[in-house]
Amino acid sequence: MNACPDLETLLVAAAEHDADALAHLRNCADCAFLAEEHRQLEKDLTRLVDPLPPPDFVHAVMARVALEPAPVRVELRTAVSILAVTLMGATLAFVATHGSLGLLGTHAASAIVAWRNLFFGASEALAAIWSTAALPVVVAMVGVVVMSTLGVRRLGAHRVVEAQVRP
Amino acid sequence: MTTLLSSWLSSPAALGSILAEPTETVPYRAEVRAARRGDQSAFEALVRSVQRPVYGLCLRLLRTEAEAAEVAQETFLRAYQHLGRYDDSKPFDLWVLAIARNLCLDLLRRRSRVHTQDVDDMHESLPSGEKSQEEGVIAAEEYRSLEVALSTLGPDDREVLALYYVQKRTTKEIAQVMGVAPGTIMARLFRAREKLRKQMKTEDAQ
Repeated sequence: MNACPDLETLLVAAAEHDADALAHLRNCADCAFLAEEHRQLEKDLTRLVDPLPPPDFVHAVMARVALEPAPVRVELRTAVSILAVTLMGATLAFVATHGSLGLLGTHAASAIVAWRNLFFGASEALAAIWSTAALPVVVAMVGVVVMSTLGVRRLGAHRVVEAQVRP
Repeated sequence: MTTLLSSWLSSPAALGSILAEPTETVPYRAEVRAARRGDQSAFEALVRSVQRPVYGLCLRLLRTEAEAAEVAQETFLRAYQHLGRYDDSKPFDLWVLAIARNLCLDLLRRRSRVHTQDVDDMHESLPSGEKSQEEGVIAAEEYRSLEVALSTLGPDDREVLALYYVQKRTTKEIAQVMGVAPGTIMARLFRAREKLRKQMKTEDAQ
């Protein structure tokens, strides 16, 4: 007879009607005994039942629920807040352009030109730093990228767990 | 031995049967939608429908009736407050069970020690009508020793056994409640069952 395999592996394989596992169970009294104990335990466990909650349980829950605002009102409040912020932004844009929203395009173009100058200035500054201290800059940038990636990954994992177990 | 093997394989609780997952359905959708609009009777219907598994899980994890009832109440209150965030393409009962589990684990983490009388408290809370039904099948003493052995396991083991064997949840559903990969549930079940088997052996020997 072959040496006994790991019990978990053996039982899972036997449950999947694996021929080797079944043959081992037929020939090994020890493993067959353990398999039978697990089967009996499963049988007993399936006979357990959940206890009943206290008789006033539903009333107690509903008494607390009655003090809460309706869920739809909470959602409505959020929607109204978003709408209010959007309208405020639109009003500000209207006032900033002296009532002529067509000027928004001109303002946007001016901003792009200003940003372009800023971009070129920053590029020249970076080039100067690069030519004098390239290695420290590379090390610092790698550090920032690694730390940011780890932080984002950790935040992402936390949010997944929260989404699964929190309301 | 062959008889034992064949009976194990043909048992409804055999490992093979748990690989087959039933077709997914999403019950309680209409009630959830009505409850979101503020229909409290719809929410009450939801509470009535899922109170028993929620309270049962809380009691199995916390082991005291008072705490289980309090946490189960808090679970439903949080569910109501956050109904807007519930994705109604998923089963409502699993969502509520996940909230209950989370609250129970928070409480367990805060606990500094386990009270020795907890086990007896939980036995007394078992429904007497069903206990007498059980007596026809398992001897009362065996039933009690199983509960005692179960209560000595850690929360993770109690949880997975309760969800699978007591509440008859599928491995996929359990994974959803526990927030783990479905593939890990089988291994967790085996390990929990093996610990329980060894615990019962120890009790039998004493």
